[in-house]
Amino acid sequence: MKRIACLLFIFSIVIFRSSGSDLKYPVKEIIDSLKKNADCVLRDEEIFIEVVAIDEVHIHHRYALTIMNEKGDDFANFSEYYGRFSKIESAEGYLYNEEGKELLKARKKQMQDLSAVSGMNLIDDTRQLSHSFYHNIYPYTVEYNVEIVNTSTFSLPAWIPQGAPRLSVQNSKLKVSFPSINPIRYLNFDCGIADSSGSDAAQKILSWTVSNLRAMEEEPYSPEWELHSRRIILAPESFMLENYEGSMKSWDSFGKFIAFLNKDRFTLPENIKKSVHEIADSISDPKEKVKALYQFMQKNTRYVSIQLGIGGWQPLTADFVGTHGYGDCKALSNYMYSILREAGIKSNYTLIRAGRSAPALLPDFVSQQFNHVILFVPFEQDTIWLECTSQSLPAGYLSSFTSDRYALSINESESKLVRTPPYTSEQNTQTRFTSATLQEDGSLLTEIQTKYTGIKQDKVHFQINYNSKDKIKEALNKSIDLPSYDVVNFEYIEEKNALPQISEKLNLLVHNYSSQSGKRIFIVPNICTRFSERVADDSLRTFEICINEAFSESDSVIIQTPEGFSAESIPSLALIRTDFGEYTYSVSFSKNQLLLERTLQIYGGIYPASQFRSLQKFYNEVFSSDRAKVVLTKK
Amino acid sequence: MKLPYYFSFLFIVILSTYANAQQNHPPKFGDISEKDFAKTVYPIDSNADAIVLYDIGQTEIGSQFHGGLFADYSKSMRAHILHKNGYTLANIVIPVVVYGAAQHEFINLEATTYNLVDGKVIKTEINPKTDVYEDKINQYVVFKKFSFPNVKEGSIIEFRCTIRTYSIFALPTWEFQRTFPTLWSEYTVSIPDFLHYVFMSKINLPLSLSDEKIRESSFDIWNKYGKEEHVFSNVVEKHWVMENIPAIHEEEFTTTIKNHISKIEFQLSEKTSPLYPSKILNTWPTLTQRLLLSDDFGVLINKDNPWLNEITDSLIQGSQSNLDKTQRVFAYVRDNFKCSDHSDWFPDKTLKEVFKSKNGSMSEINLLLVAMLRKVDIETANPLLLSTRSNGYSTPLYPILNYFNCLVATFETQGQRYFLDASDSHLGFGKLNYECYNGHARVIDFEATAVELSPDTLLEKSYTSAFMTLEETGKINGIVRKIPGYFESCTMRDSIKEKNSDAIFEKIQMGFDDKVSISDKSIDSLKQLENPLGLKFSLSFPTQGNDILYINPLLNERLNENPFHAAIRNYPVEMPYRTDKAVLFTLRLPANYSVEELPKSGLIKMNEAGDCTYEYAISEANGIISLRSRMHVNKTFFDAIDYDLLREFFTMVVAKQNEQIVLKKKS
Repeated sequence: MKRIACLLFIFSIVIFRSSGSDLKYPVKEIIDSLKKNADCVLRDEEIFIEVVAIDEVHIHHRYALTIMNEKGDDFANFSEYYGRFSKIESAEGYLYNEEGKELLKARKKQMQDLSAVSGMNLIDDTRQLSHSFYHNIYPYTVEYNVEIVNTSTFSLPAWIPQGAPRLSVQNSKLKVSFPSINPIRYLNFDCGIADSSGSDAAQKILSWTVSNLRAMEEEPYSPEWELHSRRIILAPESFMLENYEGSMKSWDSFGKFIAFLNKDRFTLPENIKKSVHEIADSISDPKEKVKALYQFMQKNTRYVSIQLGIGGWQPLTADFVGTHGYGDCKALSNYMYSILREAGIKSNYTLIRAGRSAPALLPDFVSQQFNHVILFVPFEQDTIWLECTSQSLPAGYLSSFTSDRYALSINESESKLVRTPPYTSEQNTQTRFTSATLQEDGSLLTEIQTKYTGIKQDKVHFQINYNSKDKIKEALNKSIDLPSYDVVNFEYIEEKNALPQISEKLNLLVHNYSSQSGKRIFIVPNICTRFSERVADDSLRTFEICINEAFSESDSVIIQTPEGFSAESIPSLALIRTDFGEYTYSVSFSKNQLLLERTLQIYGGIYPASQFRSLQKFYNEVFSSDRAKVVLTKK
Repeated sequence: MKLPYYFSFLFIVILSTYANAQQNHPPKFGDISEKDFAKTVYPIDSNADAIVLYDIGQTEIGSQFHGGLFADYSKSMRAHILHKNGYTLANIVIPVVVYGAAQHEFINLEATTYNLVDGKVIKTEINPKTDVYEDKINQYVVFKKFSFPNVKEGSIIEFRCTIRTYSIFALPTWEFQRTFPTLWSEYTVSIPDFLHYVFMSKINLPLSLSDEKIRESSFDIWNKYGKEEHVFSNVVEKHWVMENIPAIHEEEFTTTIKNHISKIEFQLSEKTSPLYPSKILNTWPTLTQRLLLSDDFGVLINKDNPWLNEITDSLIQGSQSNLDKTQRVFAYVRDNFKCSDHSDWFPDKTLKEVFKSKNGSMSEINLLLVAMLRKVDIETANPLLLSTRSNGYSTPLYPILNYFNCLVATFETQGQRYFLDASDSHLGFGKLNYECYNGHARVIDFEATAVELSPDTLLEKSYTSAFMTLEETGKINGIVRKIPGYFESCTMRDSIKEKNSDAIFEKIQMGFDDKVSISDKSIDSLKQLENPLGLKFSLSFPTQGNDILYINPLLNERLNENPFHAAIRNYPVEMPYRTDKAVLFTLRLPANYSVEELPKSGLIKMNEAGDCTYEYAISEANGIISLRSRMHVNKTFFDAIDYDLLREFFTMVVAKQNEQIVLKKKS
């Protein structure tokens, strides 16, 4: 026994020592093209998603990153999220120097286990395992190996090998295996043909590999990074979430699953039922009923998000929301649905991917792509869309948060994709009349009357609805692009239509608005509608241009100037028409009045990369013209 | 953003401890009727989104048989939510320490929302079993979270809870002010005779009550012989009340709003009989000496550390002076160790662990620096403890450790004291981040030497010179050189590291309204971290062919807007450093252009004392226009009453810097 123990002891020492002499990922093996513009090189990655059963998925993820310089340090941080439906079985980290020698090793218990509750939520299940070597001799390589077990195939990770700018990829592989009875579908964006070797009748194995992807730079006005990256998106056919079964064969079957989760959660507390009838019964027009009931819901609830377990997918009951007065987007939408149901109006709980610049839904690939819920109230003509988490939006108005995109309307009998309305550049308007008087001392007394509609009024809407009068004044004191001014008075009138409108009246005293030099006065006629986008000189552009706003602005300015001056220099007329938008600018001076007429229309949309120089030219010209000066001289 | 309402301490309410007949007293817990809803506008602030009707706290030292001493913190609060912007008050987060020396026990919670419905008061209570959630932040701290149910505009919310802690070392701070106006803020602290606390009160507003009573109570303690004893002792009860407290208000150019909030803070300083007598804190020297003797702190730097021999010997090879040795060791530590966090000034790892892993917290790296300097016989090298600007002022009056959040290093040679921070890879020798210049700081040496790091000692000096020529065609071009201030250089170095050097010149280009072109760019002193950068570039204006030319001689160096936006200010202005900004501009004119208009020279002074001055001296002679512009901000601290003058000064500077030179082609 002793002898064997002794041998084992020696044997293990030998193993221990010899593993130290293997060099891993020496930096000199990276080819030059992969070093260019790269702060980090993904040396090798393998993600193996093993679907064992409908409620058991093993994910093995191993990756090695070489951090080339300080800017790449963020890539070196290891962070893996887990929660109710997932568990981290094991995790290890390794640190290698430039040569490839192992410097340090980290085990799971040396890693930090932290709460990852989103700031938006009161509480949720999400936690994270996190670690960093904090190394600072460049270049160095970190390698992490993590094993996760998920109890559902509902939401499978996407494979995006080149998920960030200034990251080059030496080699990355995705391998997916699943039993033929629980197939996994995929959508392939430019990752080559799948290798299905190893598959047989019972078990399918698919793998993709990408290699030698050069690092790319971030560019302004680009869509979300992942949208122009090679990637594979995965989704199951049948799935289980806790004890609930479902299918992603079609949007209808996906919708049925959600409808099943939502089943029988519409019972309102008695006092709420009473209020619903008190409000709705006396109104004959169903659309007006919806408006009145929506306002009732807004006054009596607020947004508090609790997402625990299946509660991440199943809404809290209408009874809970009615008694607690709060809920998240699911609970509040279900609550509104229940209120309308009580008043005899049909509506649909609708899943959507929200966010001003969120990636569009892939309509041909049924999968979990949603992060928000709204309510869709169909009528013969028109639809009323309701954002149930807002206590201030008008009924029927969605704002840029959820406009102009696909959504999944849930219905027990038929769930289908619908489209939320877009807000066009004709609907998002800013119309401004400014009258001002230039004082002898160069200061300007001005009254600015502006009408904002559609998305143009979103920012103002949030400003006036979520801030006290003092805070509004404070914000106005900072937000106007003028060097030194005082807000003397402000007034807002809000019209809460389905296309909302806000009228704003500001009285400002602008100090030293004009600049005087001897017998000259220098004055910028465009007081406060100055275009602020500017594009720096840039090298060749790779990605499409994505302008995700559409609006029209129109300005009329009258500035009364002191007696006895004539115009020495007036900015030239501008009339610019491009694929991106249109701009007109004209200034005239007569009888001590400086007049400006200006319009700007931005169409929004997606444009090819080759048009970038034109965009740059357009924006820079508008920027300069908006700041053009008039020079008046004493007669 | 919907942020939850945080408070960092919990206190019990004792319902009837008002022995004195007081004119005002807060309402009783749970006593809410219809008339409480009548008021929708409060005179203290007619625009407020919510009013805290009362905020009452109590800390009471108690004891348990076999358990020793503890402190019970209790708090109760009632608020009237007037507008949905006040809903944030309804989301409560209570931090509870679950592991470690200051472990807490969360005892109870009662919370209720009151609404007026059809003239009647309706109550909705929290169920502590189902509606209170626990968020495990890390292994030490758990957040207990709950949200008041059924909150609408007009609701009144009220809660009280208790937490018991077995650490009596630092009692929690009581803050009288918060982001909403408070009508009644009251705090009572009951401490037995045998525990002495030092306390610091910063009271900016009048107290309506401040008194002290003595009563008797009994405690189960471990006496000086180590045996359990039931003792009777006098208990000192201190009591403060402040009424009608306005909301605190963040303002620009302050170190931190924390410095301006009325509050009271405490720390245990001594235990006396019948407990085993010990001085916990007394004087600064006692404190630093204790730190120096501690295995986790002083011993780290004082012991021999033979494993450092190899590296220190090689670093100082051939070195002649102490200053030179220090510079070499400093550069080595700064360039080879990575700062993993700035969270705590007390070290967590041994220096050997830091050395081996090549990373550590800010204080661990600076302690390693001190240890290495001691190794090379720099006897005067010591750790320096300070509180950064955003953490609030520390006080020289009492050695309260909680005030400090940052540890750097210091040493003296040839009569001069240097400050070193090896944890920041961008700082040069002898330079600290301006965040560290926050007044009182303490050297951790035997005498606890006090040091004053005043922001007035920092001068951000920048110099720009532009030599331009107007050609006969109307084109204007020339060469610009700029030496930015030290801190601006640090920011630029960061920017260059993050993107590239082009980013700096792009920013310069954006500073012009016209589309100028910049070429022949160069940056020097990039690696000389003790010095500012030197920029140089060629500048060209697209002005050819124009008969009349307008040029601003300050180019892109002018102030675009007044940095002081607010019309009224409550707190002093606290700038991080003094400023000296100079711009020199010359323009050579061709024969075919003449000066049509030249701005006037001028001198602007903020006040008689000249705390801020601006000089604009412009002239034209022999076909050359030259401008000398110089702005001085000579102080860093301005009282709130001087705000108007300060704002006015900048308004005038902005106006002056906006003036144009007008040149006309001769016909």
